[in-house]
Amino acid sequence: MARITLEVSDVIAALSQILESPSNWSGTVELVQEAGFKGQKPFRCDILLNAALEKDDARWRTILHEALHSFSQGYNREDFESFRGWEEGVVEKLQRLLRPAVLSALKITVEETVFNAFEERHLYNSYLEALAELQQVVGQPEQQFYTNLLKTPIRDRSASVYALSRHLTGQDYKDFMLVFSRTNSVLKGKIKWNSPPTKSSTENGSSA
Amino acid sequence: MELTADEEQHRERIIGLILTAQTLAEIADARLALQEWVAEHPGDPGITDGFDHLAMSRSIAESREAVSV
Repeated sequence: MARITLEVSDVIAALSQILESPSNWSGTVELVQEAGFKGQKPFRCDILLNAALEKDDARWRTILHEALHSFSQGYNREDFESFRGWEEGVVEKLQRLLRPAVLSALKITVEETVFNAFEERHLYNSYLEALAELQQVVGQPEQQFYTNLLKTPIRDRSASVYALSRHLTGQDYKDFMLVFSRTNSVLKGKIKWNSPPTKSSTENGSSA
Repeated sequence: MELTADEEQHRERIIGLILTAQTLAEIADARLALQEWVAEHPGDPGITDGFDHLAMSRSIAESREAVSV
């Protein structure tokens, strides 16, 4: 068995403990030569990895990301396509949040700078910013918010966040709705993320 | 990695193409734009997971087109 397959297996075992949830992974890792991508989690339950990743420290990001998809509820083509940011954003955020605990459990040491190089300007940061704003407005602890979303079927994730607003009233509810409508559009891929104008820029008559 | 304002705008445009590409033609266009960007900006690893995103988009588009045939 290739070393990277064992690494995937170890990562999934560690994630299963942390998430207190089983994975849907089939146990198969397909190493693809000259893949043109780093990793993929097709809707069948295998994981595809670029064979060239084996000696790259940054592979742990990819392994964790693809492994997390295997814990995702409602991971099917239609819902993944319709709610892409609700899946990719949640998985990428959990990849970053849980990575220290997973690597520690596996006794693996990799400098965070290796991962930061990819994550500081990652293309999913727009999804992560949208989710972070929702997490703040509903006031749930970070790990709980994202773990609950992973365990909620992809198609129900936006409704589950909306349901968290039921205790809000007055201006708090209005604030939530503003954030929810904007971020939900970003997470469904309808619009690109643009941070809302800051108070000072609004007061100055300019927009962000 | 320091980019000019025009480069930043171009980078945002490419990310927009990647995240919204759904048809095989849109995916091919986005992939080409990403390949060119990466070739010109090897110090920008943050965008390279775009290849993974597009590989999934392509699998989805192929399944959709196979169903519709």
